[in-house]
Amino acid sequence: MSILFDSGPRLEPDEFRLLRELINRFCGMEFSDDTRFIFERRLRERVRELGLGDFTQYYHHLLYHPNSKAEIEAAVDALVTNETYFFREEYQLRAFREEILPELRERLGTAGRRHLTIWSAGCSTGEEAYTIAMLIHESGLFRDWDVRVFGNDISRRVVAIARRGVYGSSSFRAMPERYERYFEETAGGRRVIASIRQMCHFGHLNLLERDRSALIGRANVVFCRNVLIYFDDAARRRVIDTFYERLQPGGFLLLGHSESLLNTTTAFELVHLATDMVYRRPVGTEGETP
Amino acid sequence: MKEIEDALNGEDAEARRRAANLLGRTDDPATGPLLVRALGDEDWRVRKEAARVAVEVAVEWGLLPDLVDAIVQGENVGLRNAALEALERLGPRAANALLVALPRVPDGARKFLVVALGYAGGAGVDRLAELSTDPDPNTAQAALEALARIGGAPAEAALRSHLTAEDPVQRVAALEGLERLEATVSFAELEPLLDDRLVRRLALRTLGYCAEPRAVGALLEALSDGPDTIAAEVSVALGRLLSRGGAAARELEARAPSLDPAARTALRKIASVGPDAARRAATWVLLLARDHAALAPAAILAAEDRLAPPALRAIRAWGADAIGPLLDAREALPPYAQAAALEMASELAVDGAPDDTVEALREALRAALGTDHAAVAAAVCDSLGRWAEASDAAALVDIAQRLDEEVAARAGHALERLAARAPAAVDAALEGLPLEGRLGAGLLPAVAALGGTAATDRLQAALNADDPAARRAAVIALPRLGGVVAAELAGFALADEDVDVQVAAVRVLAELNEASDEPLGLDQLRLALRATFEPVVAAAARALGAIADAASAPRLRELVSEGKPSVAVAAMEALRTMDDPALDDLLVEALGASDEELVKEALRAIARRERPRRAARVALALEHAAWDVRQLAARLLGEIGTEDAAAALHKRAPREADRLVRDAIERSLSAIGEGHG
Repeated sequence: MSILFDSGPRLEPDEFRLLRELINRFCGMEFSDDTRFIFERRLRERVRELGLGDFTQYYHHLLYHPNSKAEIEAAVDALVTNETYFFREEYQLRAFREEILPELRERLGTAGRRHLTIWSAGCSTGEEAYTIAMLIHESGLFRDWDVRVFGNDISRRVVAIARRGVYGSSSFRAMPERYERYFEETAGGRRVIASIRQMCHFGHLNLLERDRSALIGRANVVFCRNVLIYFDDAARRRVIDTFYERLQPGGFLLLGHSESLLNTTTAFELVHLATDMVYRRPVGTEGETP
Repeated sequence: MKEIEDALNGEDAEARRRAANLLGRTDDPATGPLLVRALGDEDWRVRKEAARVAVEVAVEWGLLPDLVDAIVQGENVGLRNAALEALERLGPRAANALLVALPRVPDGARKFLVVALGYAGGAGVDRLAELSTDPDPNTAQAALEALARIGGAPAEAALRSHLTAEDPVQRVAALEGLERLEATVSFAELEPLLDDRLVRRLALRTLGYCAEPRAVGALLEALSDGPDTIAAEVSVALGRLLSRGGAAARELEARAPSLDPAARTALRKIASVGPDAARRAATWVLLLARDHAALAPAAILAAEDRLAPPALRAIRAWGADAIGPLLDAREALPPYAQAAALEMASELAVDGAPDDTVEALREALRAALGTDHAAVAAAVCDSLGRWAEASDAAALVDIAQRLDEEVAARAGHALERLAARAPAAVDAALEGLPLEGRLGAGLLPAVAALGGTAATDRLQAALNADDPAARRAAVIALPRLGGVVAAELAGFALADEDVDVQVAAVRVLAELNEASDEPLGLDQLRLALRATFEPVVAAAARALGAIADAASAPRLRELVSEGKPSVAVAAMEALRTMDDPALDDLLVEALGASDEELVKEALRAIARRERPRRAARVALALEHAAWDVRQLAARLLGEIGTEDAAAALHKRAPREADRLVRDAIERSLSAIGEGHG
């Protein structure tokens, strides 16, 4: 596909809007007006691959084809940048390691529940989930506990990468040296070692599919960082309601540094930790809806 | 209600929040005072919940005066902010209550009403323009910010009048407002502000919205003489001028090649490490200046699809002279940008690059064939499709085997093109290679391009591959073989269990039919109208419509009547193309269909058939709930172009709220006006 020469079908404004709206209905993602050029360039490849003539035919394909869901996922995958890395937003991870984990250890341990579940929602290629697993392991607080880190994404491609657990150099740009021991060299890159991989589970899940999120069970912490920025208000509300439902009372919700629940919900309380502010489902809200 | 009141009076903040939430469900205006009390709760979560509920019920329960009172009281800041939030979200619905309250509000509290008016739409613009000269500086400032939020010609005029205000804070607010509104500002208005130390930076940025060529000189001068800190602002302004086009953009394009060294240095710095918008703009200007330092950031931005089409045109205009610098620049780039640099260099070489430049490009591509990075490999394969020589065939096969299926497909296409120039080399490279799975699917086009019995045998084998992607690739490659054998094999593929293989077979049969003087594959296409998979039937309907196969018309009419949207749309499109006389009877029902694509296809058919009352029937769709149906109706009425079409558009125009539909109505009315003029 050409970069400099305008080849392939043009994306007309109405086609752009129809595609945007369809993707929004499917997964809640919202794309601004200035992404038309990106849509045109990145989805042209899909149009060509499917042997279609223009974007209206592509829209019909997404509406009517028996495998349209997979194709919408492929379109979203092409449109969204999935770039992430280990130990992203370290100050928040410090709060998780130094304050949240000890509190959970104390609270759950006292209640005799030796089971810890963390959900990395919108995990992309898996670096966040593995980072969480490494932090839990490194803390030493949950030895002999049943620990699960579940990562999900709407892209099957990135979920497959997460499962493989093999990463190139750009994934390590922020990782402190002492965590090197959690990786082993392979031909394709550095692979997360088996004991950490065993703690992590990955699945293909659209965050708007509230019913399917029950597959995760009840989590003690939900990480959803730099994901909600792609969603419109309504979708954001639905996703946050799902998090509320999936969190144990007293469970924590960690959002990206530029994200907040202002104007989305008041169901969570804000907790001021030493290095960060996080949200918590209030204690004593068992069985309640947001 | 008692329970809610008790909860709101309780100690537990979570219980109070829930009580506030429940207030919205009581549907009882008598609970209004409780809601106002919740707006002033000591806990932010309770206040937020109450504000959310207030937005839902305030108009119906007559609470707007209470909300206004809440923002002008001075005792409870939390209450004021929560009420203000609710009023902001109520928008134009609160306009009247705010305007009515203005005269009775004490001076110190007026600014809060003014802030809320900024969200209330055009109704408050005149009053805000008056308040922008209020003796209370806070109120005047808030009025300017509110005007900038509302926009429109009267708001812009009010803001302009403050560009010469004595108070520098007002000058800043006016400039910020005009910039936010992207309002065109004359050079005469901005020139005095360029020497004003307090607003110079903002004035330079706003010059990006000045359409006059003089703006370019002022901006370039600032770039050359100014400190680094304003280079980013100037870059953004230059980018805006270029994006807007017109005389100022032409002036900048003309002056860019002779940029002085200081301006180049400033732009280079911004292009490499500046903030995003400034980086893109600086890169664009440097490309116009044909500055080699632009090519590395340009490759990065192009790889991210963030370089605007006119900036890409600037690279194209640069031509073969940019190839060497691009190849030099790529070495320091991350892999994804290296890929873009190689692709751009390859594309630039098409327009008559000197032989030594082409050879240098080939060498760079060959060196990059050793990459393990899929994006670089894909770019190299795409480029070698044009530039490979016989000796490159084996390396292309190697990279196809070594990396992922996407790379294999690109390598396959490169080999397909190379087969036209060096068939023996491609044949030798592919000989004995097992064409299995997705890797095989990628290389099948190259096999087909070689032709002959061996190619037929290998394609036939691939048609029975386990992987449907390989079978589909084999089908798609069949037209290369052509003739009866290809049609026969494509016909077999119509019985494949995979829907995408069948769809590909239909398209191939249509292609073979079009390329032949004989009715090749026609029987199979007609049979495909009875296939199980809807996409197969739809593809067959379109193919038969394109060749105006009258014998298919009865089945196509049945498919329209059956009403399965995906098939009915295609069948109706085919019947419209064939100008089938019986289509009229099917259209009325289709207009009432729940599927919008079906309604749209029916509208196209109605509009393009010369029948009585067609404008009136299309005009009905101007009232349709879906914006895209209304937009198409507006466009079609413009094509019909009759007086009744224009009348229908005029009638709808004032009520149409959707921007795209409004644009379509305006364009159609303009076209009809010109037609009649």
